[in-house]
Amino acid sequence: MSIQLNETLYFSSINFNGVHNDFWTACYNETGDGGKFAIDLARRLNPNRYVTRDSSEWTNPWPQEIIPKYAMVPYDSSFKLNFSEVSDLKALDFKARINTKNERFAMMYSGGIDSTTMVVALLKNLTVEELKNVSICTSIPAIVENPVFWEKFIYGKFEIIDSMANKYHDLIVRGYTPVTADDGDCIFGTVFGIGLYHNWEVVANKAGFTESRKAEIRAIMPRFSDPEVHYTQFADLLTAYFGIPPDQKFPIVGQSAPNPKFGKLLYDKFARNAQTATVPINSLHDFFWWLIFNVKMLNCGVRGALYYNDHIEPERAIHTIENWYNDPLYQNWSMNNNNNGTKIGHTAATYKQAARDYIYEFDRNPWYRSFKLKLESMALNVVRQDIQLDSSMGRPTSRFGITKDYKLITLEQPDVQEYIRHHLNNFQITWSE
Amino acid sequence: MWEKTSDAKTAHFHMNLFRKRTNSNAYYSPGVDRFFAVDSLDPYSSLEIAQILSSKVPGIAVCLLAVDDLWFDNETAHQHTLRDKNVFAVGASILFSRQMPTVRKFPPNSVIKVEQPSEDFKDGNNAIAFQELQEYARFVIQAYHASKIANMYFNSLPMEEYARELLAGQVPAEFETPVDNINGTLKTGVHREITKILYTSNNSAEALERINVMWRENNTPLTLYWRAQFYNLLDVPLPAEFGNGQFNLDRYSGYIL
Repeated sequence: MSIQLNETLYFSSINFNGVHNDFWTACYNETGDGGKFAIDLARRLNPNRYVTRDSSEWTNPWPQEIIPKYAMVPYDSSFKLNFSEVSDLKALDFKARINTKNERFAMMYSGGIDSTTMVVALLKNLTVEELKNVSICTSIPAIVENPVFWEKFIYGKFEIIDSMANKYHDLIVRGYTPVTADDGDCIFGTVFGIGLYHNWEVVANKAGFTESRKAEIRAIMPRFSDPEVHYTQFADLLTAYFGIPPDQKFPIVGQSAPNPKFGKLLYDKFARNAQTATVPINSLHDFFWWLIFNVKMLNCGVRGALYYNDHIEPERAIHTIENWYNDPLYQNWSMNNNNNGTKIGHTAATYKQAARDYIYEFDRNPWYRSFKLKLESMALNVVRQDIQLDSSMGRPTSRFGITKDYKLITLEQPDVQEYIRHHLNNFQITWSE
Repeated sequence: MWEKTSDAKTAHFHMNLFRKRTNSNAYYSPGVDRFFAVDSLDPYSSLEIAQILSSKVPGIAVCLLAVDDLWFDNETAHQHTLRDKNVFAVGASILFSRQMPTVRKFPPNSVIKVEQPSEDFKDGNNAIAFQELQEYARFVIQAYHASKIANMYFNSLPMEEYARELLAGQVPAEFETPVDNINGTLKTGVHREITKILYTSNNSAEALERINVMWRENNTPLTLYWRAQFYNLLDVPLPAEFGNGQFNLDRYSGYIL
């Protein structure tokens, strides 16, 4: 047996990825409302890998706990450091590790705002000699995100590693500490929110909102990060937004239409989690920020270790790969800088403003500061990765989760399928009427 | 079936006098002394199409015709020729310049209608060969544009192109610079492979069969919609083997975000 029915997980993934769609469809058609909700959540926000990082209320179908590395740091409302100070301190930590332990870092550089911040911090705070312990792991899609930065600050100055040809296991085997900014979105907010800020009228129209209701939303939407405009004022819009569209691309065979109640169930679940948060959640942007800062962050933290790695056992991979933003300073900066324009101004153009400013102070590139957008940089690599079918970890698309003792469990294992079915069938909706 | 010009699906994507102009660009064979095909899309593509056809015919001249010159289409192209054939293009007459094609803009009244076929292409093998050239050229025009447009839509990561054109000298030599992101076994990229097939095939049936093989051997999630649009634009039914929407999941990492 690879898993007992009562075992607790550290990670789980309901994922419509083509390989196991039939399994999830079969589960859906045989399970109850709770199990259906968990699978519908993957249909709406594929994949479903959500788990709370603090004491706020969130339930999973199976017993699941947060990996201690990713537990939320206590909220300290007296925290005063700004983003630049935090970034510089993070770099100084790397400086110390280079000088005391001769540690070698492979920075996963996508050219995006989060990873450029990492490189800027190191360039600002490390000596030329110390930077010899730093390599840049990157690819063509990353270079084109900021070709000027590449030319001026990276090419010819660092050892360059091709991230298309080298997965995390390659870097770890070669003695690097891989450093990823994959958790950068978690401290600023989420594009899931930006998608609504930009496109809310389409959502409202499809949901049949009245003109007067749309006028009300139109009046307050520009203040989406204003704590005086509580997110509950958008509850009906969020419910409509969270609903599964009729043209959902992950169909469930035998179900002619998505569950019309799903949008309300998902809103209630996220709202219940926000209501019980250890951090004040007021504005609409707070609401979306909290979603990714809390329940989605584990996925951002470990997906590289679990899906872009075919040979290093999960425990070692998770604890060797460093998440740049999973740091008490960044985490507290994030909890203390809601609603002041440093995370986002009024549109996507100012998303991650504090980081844009930090980079600009160093590279003086106004194009990047004003026009850079959050892009799904990571996806560019993974869509064309080499699938090693002979890996001891199984194909990535089959990896379902890890147990509390970091044992990898896959959907190829019959007892894992039984475990999933058992818990889906017993999962109850407790957060909504 | 390949005679279409402004009425082809691919013409939706180009400026061609609101899908009315048939012969903005006319393909002229100096040896035959007749036009053999026309299109009304962009001249850059016409040159590339002529380059593809240069494996069959030397010295093709792509003639950019004036709007008030004679209009003709693929059915009547062979009944037209150039009034002045000794036109110079880049230092040589188009009549005897190079294997590789040339492009030249022509003034009004450059085209004349001729009732009789070219003397050496009236009958026999040459007549058959010219007819086959016409048919293949029409097919290549359609197939090239279908491939180019599909590539424009679906090749969202033209990494090799960026590395070669915009980042020359700034990319480590050992870097992977794939032409597209289909993650199949193909190294040349879908569009380039199709143009290669068109360049070396003898007729449309052979080319279509080889293109089918290419899709079959690179049946990944990211080619699913790509090939569907290619066949749709070409106005050819999706081959039955691709109709079930199945693809090779061994070439797929899943959606890990």
